[in-house]
Amino acid sequence: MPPVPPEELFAQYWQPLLRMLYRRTGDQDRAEDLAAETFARAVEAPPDNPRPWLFAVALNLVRDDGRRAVRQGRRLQLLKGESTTTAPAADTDYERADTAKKVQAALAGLRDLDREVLLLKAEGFDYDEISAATGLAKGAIGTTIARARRRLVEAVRAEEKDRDVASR
Amino acid sequence: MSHLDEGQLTLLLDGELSPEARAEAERHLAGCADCRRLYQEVRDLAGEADRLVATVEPAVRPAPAVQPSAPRPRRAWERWRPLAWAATLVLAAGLGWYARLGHLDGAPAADRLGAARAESAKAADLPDNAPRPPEPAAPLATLPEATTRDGPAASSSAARPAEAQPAAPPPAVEQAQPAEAPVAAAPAPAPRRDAEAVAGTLAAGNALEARRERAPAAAGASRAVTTAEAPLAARDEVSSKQAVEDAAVSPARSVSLEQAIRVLGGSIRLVDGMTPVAVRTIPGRGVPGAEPDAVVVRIVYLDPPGRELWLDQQRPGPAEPEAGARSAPALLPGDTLVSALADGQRRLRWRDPEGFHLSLAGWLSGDSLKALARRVR
Repeated sequence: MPPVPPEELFAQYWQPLLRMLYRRTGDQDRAEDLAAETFARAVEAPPDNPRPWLFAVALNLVRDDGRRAVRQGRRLQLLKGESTTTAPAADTDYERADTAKKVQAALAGLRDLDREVLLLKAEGFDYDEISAATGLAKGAIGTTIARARRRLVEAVRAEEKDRDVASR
Repeated sequence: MSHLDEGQLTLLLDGELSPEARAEAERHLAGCADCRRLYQEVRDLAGEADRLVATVEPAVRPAPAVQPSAPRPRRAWERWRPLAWAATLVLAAGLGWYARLGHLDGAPAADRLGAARAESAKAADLPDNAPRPPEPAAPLATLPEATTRDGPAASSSAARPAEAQPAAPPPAVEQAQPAEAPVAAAPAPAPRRDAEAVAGTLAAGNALEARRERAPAAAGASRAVTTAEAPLAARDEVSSKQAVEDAAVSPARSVSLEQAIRVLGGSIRLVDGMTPVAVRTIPGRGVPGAEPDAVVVRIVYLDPPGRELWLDQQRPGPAEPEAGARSAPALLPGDTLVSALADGQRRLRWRDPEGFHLSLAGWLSGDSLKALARRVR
C-alpha cells in the first residue's frame, strides 16, 4: 500500500488524533503539541498503515513525557502585553463540562493500557488495529476493554456520589 | 458450553467473534439467564462508557492549515523541460566561449566570473518564484542570467555528465582556473555543499525539494566547467572579509528533521498545524539578521498560493553575549521585529523564552506573520 500523502493524512487524522490525545492528557495545548510532533514524524517517514501508526506514535510520545520535542514550558511568549486568546471550550454546556471533568479524572485514574485501549475503541478502532497500536495480543483486548469500561463508569459514578454527599 | 465471561461477551458485543464462535455464544445465551444478565450489563456499561468518553472533546480551534493542498500550475520552465538537453548543449558551449574570453581578458574577466558565480548562487538560494535580483552591470551579465533561467537544463547536465562535459572545451577549463584563484569576490561557501544538498530530504517535500535542488545543481555545474575551488587560504581570506553579499548566497543544505533537532541541541520549533515540506541548515552569516556564528535551521512551509514560508531558528550560543553587546539588534524574549525584505517578503523576528532566535519570512503581511508566529511551538 503506497503511503498516504501528508496533506491527506492530516485532513483525515488530525481531529481524531487530537481528540484522543486530549482525552488521554486532559491538556489541549499539550495534545496539539503531541499531535503536531506525531504528524512531523509521519511526514518524515510516511507510514504504510497510517491509522494505527499515528496513534501508536502519539501514545508513545505521551508515555515518553519528557521527550525533547514536546517539552513543556517551551511555550512561546510572543508579543509583550498581548494575551494569547484561547477559544472557548466546546463544552459550553455547564453540565456537560462538569461530566467531562469527572470523566477526565476517571480516565486519569485508569491503568495506562486500559485507558489507551478504551480511547482507541472510542475512535472506532477494531481489535486488530488496537492490537497494532498498543502491542496488546488480540485475545486480551476483549477482557481489557471490558475492564476499562467498567472501571471508568464506576469511577465516574463514585465521583458523582462523593459530590452529592459533599454538597449535602 | 461453560458460561461466558465479560471478555467473551465484549467480543460478542463488539462484533469481534468469528462466525462459529458467535453462533456458539448466541446458542449459549439463549439458554442461560445468568449470561444474558451479564451480557446486558456489559452492553449497558459499554454504552455508558462511550457516552462518558464522548463528553470529553477538545476545544474548537481554527482548523490548522495544511499545505500543499492543490497541485500548482506548471511554471514556465517546467513546460520547457523536454528541451532541457538542448539547453544543456547551448549552456556548455556558452560557458566554453565565456571561459575562453576570460583567458583573453585576464583578471577583469575573472571578476566578472566571480560575479557570475555569485549571481547564480544567489539565484540558487531563492525560491523559483522569487523576484530576481537586479542583474549585474558587467558586460557579460547575460551569461549568469542564462545560467539562472536554465536551472533545470543545467540540472540535466549534472545528471548526465557524459552529455554535458565533453561539450565544454577542456582547454578552456584549464585556462579559467588560474584566473579564478586570486579573486577576492569568490563566494565564501564551498561549492561542495551543492552535492550534499541532494542528501536527506523530507519525504513530503520531495517534489518541491527536487525543484529547489536543481538550482544549486545548476550553479554547481557551471562551476564545474568554469572554475575550480579557490585554494583554502584564499577562501579563508575571503571569509575574513565577510563580504555580506557573498555570505547572503550561502547554499542551503537539506537535512532531516532529526538532524535539525540535533543541530538545535535537542528541540525544534514548528508551526503548529502546518506540514513542513523541507528542512535546511544554513550558515548563520548567510541569513541577514541571524547570529552569524550559529547555524540557522530553516523549516520550509508553503503558503496557500504555494510560495515558500520560512521558519528560521537558531539556538542561543554557549558564549552568547548578553543583549546589547551583540552587533545585531538585541531582541529580548517577547520582543518582535517586522522588517520588509527587498523582494516583497516580510520577516518577523523574535526570541522565545528559551532564548531561541526565531524568524518567519514570506510573502505575507506583518499581521499574518504574527498570527503564524503564535502557532510556533
